[in-house]
Amino acid sequence: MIKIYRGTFCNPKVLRILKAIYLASWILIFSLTPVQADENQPSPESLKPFEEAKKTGDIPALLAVFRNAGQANNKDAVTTLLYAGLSDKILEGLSEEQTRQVLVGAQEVLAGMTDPQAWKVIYKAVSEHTNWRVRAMLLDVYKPLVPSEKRARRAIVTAITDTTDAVALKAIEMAGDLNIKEAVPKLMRVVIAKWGQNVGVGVAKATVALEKITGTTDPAGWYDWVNKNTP
Amino acid sequence: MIKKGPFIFNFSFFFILGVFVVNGNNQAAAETGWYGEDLPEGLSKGTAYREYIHQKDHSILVYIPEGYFLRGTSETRVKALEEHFGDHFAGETPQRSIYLKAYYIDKFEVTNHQYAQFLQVVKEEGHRFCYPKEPARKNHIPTYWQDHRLNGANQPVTGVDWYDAYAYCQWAGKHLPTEAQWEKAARGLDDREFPWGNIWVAEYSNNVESTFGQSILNKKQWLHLLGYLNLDTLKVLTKPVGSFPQNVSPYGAQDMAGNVWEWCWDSYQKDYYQSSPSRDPRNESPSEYKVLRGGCWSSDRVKVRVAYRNYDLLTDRHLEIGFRCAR
Repeated sequence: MIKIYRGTFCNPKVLRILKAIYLASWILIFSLTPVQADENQPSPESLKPFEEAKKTGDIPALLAVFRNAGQANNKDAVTTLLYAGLSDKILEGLSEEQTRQVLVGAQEVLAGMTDPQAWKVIYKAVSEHTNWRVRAMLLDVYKPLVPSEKRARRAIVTAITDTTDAVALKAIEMAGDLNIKEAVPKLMRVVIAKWGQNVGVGVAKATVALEKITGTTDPAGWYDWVNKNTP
Repeated sequence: MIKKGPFIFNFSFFFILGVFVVNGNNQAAAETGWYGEDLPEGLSKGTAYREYIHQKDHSILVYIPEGYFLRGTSETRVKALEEHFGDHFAGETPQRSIYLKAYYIDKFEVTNHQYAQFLQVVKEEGHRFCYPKEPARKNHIPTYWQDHRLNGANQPVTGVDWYDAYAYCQWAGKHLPTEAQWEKAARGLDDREFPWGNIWVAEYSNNVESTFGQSILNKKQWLHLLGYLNLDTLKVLTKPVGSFPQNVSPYGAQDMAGNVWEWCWDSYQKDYYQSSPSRDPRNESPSEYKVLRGGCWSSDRVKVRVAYRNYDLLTDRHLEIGFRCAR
């Protein structure tokens, strides 16, 4: 026989217990589900030595922290350098000249890396780092590797459409000067945009870069070049 | 015994005084502008004729009365432009009469000094003025904030994306102008090509010809000049707002030709004029591309025309792009 308790088919006490179990199970599920951590967010521990050196106002001391961190020559060292040492927290408040010194120092350390896993992080940073000055500096890290390293060329091609023009213009110029053939389709997209011709300094520079690589400023010539040079 | 005479006298005096005060406040609330319009809150008449002061960011605004204006460019003119400059101007056609409600627009582009006040607020109060869908961990500091060639207090803020411009306008209690609002404010009612009239004078605005001191008559010349340019060697790019007194529109808005491209509210669509409403058009279709107007220091004479429509990715930060607000 079914007993009806004030319009429900269950004893209210039992119902309350069931509700509590239901809620508790959801809380348990949420607490056990790993949160997708932002792997590029620096931990407080990794920031600490950089912050302490910055507090002293002594840029050579800050650069020494970069060199020390770089000695490990692995993925973690590079991650620390890029996302703790070159984080907004560290770079914010530095003068233009101090920022330049820090970036040049970091560039030297990064260029000295030999670990393949570390380089994976360095190449990825061109599209993942949030500070445009760091992205621009990375282009100089890739530059000497362009003739031999496909990933360096690919990273420069990626930077051609960077949202900050200071980075994009640098990549466009490098593509032309270093004769990066892989850049042609992307350079063409800079000039010939979705709705007709683009305007601005970027377009003028991309046209010159295309001329350096393909030998012409005529869009028809660029299409021909792509047909002949794409396997 | 209480004497009632002085009490009644005092009561009547303060009652009458109170009535005057209340009426006075009501009159303040209904203050009228230069055109007899009711002034919105936070806006007051400026000392100069036709100008208004916005309390929040101390900007000067000009009033654009309601009514029709001629938007876009005729087919004949577009053909002539394409012959000479080899670009595409089809987005400016068809030319149509467009009705807009009355509005105010900044007399000048937003300056670094004004933008610095906004940055301070962001630092103290967080991102509460920002566009709901702006990218996570967005930083509103402009790209060229430390570049001494571009960061003068009265130079237009540049290196800002659409989200930065949106947030500034929200903070200031204004909004980005629609592209129709921008165009009417720049050209008035008489279908002119430039804010000052129909005759091109390079020295009237900050454009590629005045920046480099040479005539640029076609696209080839423009590409040659800018393509080989080393930007690092340039000492001057943008000019302080109001540097060109002749660069003034029929309504009194300045620098609407050249200096920096200006973000507008609308999403860009090349054929939008074919189908846009004729009253208060506002393209809200979802798009990554937003409209830019007015040309900049690197633009040739056809790009600084008031009808020219440009666009860019809303996340792009360029040294050629700034904005002004409307209300």
